[in-house]
Amino acid sequence: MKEQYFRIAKLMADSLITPLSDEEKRELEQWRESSIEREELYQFLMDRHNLEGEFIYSKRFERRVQWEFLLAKKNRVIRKRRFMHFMGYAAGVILLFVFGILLSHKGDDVSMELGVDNSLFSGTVLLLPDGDVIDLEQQKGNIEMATNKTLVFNEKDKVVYSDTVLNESAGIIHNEIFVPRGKNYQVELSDGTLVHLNSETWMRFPVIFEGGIREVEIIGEGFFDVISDEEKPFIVKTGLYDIEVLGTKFNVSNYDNDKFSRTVLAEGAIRIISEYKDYVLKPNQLFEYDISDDSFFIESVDASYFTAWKDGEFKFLDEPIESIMNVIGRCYNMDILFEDDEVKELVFTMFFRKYASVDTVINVLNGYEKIHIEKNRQLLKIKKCR
Amino acid sequence: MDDGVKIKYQFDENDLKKLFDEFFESLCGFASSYVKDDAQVVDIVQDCFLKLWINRDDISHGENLKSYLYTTVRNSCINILKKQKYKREDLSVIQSEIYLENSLIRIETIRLFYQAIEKLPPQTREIIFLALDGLRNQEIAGKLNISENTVHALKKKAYKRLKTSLGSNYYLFIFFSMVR
Repeated sequence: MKEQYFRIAKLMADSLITPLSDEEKRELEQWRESSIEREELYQFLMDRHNLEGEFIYSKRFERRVQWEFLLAKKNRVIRKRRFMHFMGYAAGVILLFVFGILLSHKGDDVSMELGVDNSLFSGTVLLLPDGDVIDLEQQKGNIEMATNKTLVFNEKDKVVYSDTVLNESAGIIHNEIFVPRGKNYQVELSDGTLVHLNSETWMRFPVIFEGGIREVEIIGEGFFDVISDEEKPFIVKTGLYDIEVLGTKFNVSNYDNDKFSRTVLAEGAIRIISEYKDYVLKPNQLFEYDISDDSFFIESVDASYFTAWKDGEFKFLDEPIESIMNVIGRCYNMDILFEDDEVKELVFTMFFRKYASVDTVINVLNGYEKIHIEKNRQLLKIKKCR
Repeated sequence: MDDGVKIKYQFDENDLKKLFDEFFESLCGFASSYVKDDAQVVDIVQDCFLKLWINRDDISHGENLKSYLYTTVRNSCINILKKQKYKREDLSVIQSEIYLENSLIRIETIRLFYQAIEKLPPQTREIIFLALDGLRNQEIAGKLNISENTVHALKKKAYKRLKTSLGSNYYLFIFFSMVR
């Protein structure tokens, strides 16, 4: 379709330097005479000063410098692919784990009644490299992990690595934490950085940060309050993009069943390192990555709407009901079913606290008389209001 | 294929560099006709080369690289404009075929012209420019302080060189070198 344009461009470039053959001349003339715009373009390009002007102006893009940037980005793409590969593996491990719990609860009436869903995790768990699982709801106080010789402290709703004693140095040891639906948990990492983890979130981190970099991986949602250390940049990997931090507070929402992966900066400065580009985010800016087409967008927002969950509050500003229901489902551990697809796009502005019961939240939403939510045990059915 | 000696050529970093040197500024100029912010323009064009690099194994099977580059850049530009919530009227003009034709031909003509011209020795280049200004051989000779015969000879030599460089479709050359 564009072949003709390339052909015309070549004829024009030729004609600027060498005489054209009669046939070529005719071809070019035919094209020129077919519209005023074409004739104007032709006249423009036949003027040496226009050519020079455009050519010199195009030098502002600094090809040599940009080539160096391209090389750097190209190498990062390779790293990202390795991470995605790893994530596939991690998902497999979690599945195996769920299966294991299911087997061990075979005789348990309650878990049978709940069915095979996320509620199989009664509470937040730590996954150790050797496959051991620690139930953080049950084991409070000092936890000694015999296999990797790590000692951590588990308070109410918070596990602390900042006083971690590593008895024996055996390279970098990673732990994984999994917070199920309906729960929240906090992790204080070995550098003192505090991470609030929202429901249905997985994070992998080293028990002690060694080397020149602090690196964690997350699927789900976390609010990071990072301890400043200019010598050791803090990197959060989402699998879609990386977030580089010096010392700051920000929220990452990176669920694989959401349409968008979002990072919002509350304080300080972070750099988003994506497959193709880097962006420095300012406070109250939202970086929104569209998973469906790998595009992204930066917008100014009120960061408090995105971080309220860590204080047990939920704030939505013109948010589609589909994503609101995703949040409610994770927070109250409910399954969500839309009976009418067309209501998914309806937007709501609302505010609620987590200690409100799910029934209260449903009543508020039904009160708008745009949708009707019906609760049936673990299931919320959403219909159009008739 | 039947005797099994077909060697698949790997599109490597040198090929990427060649393409980058050849097209980077033109693609930026092309993107500028859609997106006004230079930083965004550079991002879009970088993306385009990265996509090419990531998909290099799929593309080498016969897609016209030049078309690929321009098409990718234009699509990214239009996507960005849509996200910026431009007014509908503006976007319909910028998405039109006429707009594409105009920008593409303008950018490509300039690229091809300079690609050819830069290979010439400085004096010959100057002769070509003066001829473009409409000067005759005699006037050019006077201006450059050389004989009319020299002007004539240099022009002839230049034409010969340019015919060969313009004649070879560079993008096709790259394509063949990728699958040879």
